[in-house]
Amino acid sequence: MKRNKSFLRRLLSVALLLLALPGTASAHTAIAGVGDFFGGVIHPVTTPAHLLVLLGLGLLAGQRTPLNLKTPLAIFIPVSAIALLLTTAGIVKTVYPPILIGIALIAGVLVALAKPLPVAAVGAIFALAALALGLDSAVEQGTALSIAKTLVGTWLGLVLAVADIAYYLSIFTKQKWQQVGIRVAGSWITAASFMVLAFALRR
Amino acid sequence: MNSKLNKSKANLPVGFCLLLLALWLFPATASAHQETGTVWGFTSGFIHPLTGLDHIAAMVAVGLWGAFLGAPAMWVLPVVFPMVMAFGGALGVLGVPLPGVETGIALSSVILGIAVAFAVRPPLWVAALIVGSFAIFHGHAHGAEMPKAANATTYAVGFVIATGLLHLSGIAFGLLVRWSWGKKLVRLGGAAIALVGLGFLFNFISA
Repeated sequence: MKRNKSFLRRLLSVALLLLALPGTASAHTAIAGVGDFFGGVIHPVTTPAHLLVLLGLGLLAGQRTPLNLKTPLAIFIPVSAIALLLTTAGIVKTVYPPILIGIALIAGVLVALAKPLPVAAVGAIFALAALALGLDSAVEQGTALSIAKTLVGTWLGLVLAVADIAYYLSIFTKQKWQQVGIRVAGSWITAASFMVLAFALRR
Repeated sequence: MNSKLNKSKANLPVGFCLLLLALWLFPATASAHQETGTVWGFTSGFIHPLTGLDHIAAMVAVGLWGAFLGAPAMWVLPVVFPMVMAFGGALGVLGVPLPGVETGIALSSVILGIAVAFAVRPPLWVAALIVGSFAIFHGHAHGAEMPKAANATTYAVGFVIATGLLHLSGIAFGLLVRWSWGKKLVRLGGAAIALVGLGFLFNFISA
């Protein structure tokens, strides 16, 4: 009888312990609740294809010594703004994925090769990327105000991402091994983009 | 007092076993098709090169050989490998058949392991050609096994990063060559990799 009681007590403690085991928290998604503006700000870094392009652009601009962000940003800032504005006209809903990945691929190859590039070539890549990223960031629904807030946030997110990656990367280009590290990162972007491009074309 | 202690000691395994049994029976989330979404795409891509000893051995060997050859091979080989691997990966994704993929992967461990073990120092372009040729087989395997439900971008990023980190671990190990005892250790590592490759080649080890 006493033995049974002890067994039951142990069984009860095990059951209580099991009740205390944590389940999967599923209260909300990562973006829900951040608001229209901040939702827009984080949109470029939470969209894998966009992030790949931004990393490629940031590495490409930051790799050049001395750092010269004037030309790339002078092109990237207005073109991305125009592209985001064009999304409100509803002409383009999304950009054909291989175009975005293709830009990341080109940027990755150029970073891996680390050859000097004419300013016009860098400008052209930044213009193409800004256009593609902007047009691919259309807001599907919402009031005019919420759409405007999201688009301004996205624009800021795009510009900050490119400028920050390039600026902070440029701090780490003094040593030979750091330059090699950037080229290795470029080769990784190339490899990933090439694979994704094949995947997109297969579909 | 002592008898009480002994009794509690005797009871411990019963309670412990009961707890283990209960935990074992506790249902976890079914994860048969976990390769969906952005995060799982990255996770399955990242884990993919780490789940096959044949891949791991070859990737480490690339870094090891690079470090053994010194600069510029130390960084040229890990730059060449992922870029050529992506070409092989694209062939795999597009369903282009490549004969002898598994043999090529096993051979890569054998050849690269032997190169390290015997301190083979070919010209850089030859080393790059050897490494690049084997990269196609590894890439094809990764591409062909890419889960259709996974987020392609994060899957590709995940497996490229994992591959790169394996190269880096090989380079880190290979940097021991600056000491004479380290050189012996690295060459021993190369021999071990070659043996693993032979094991896969003659089916003594399965992936």
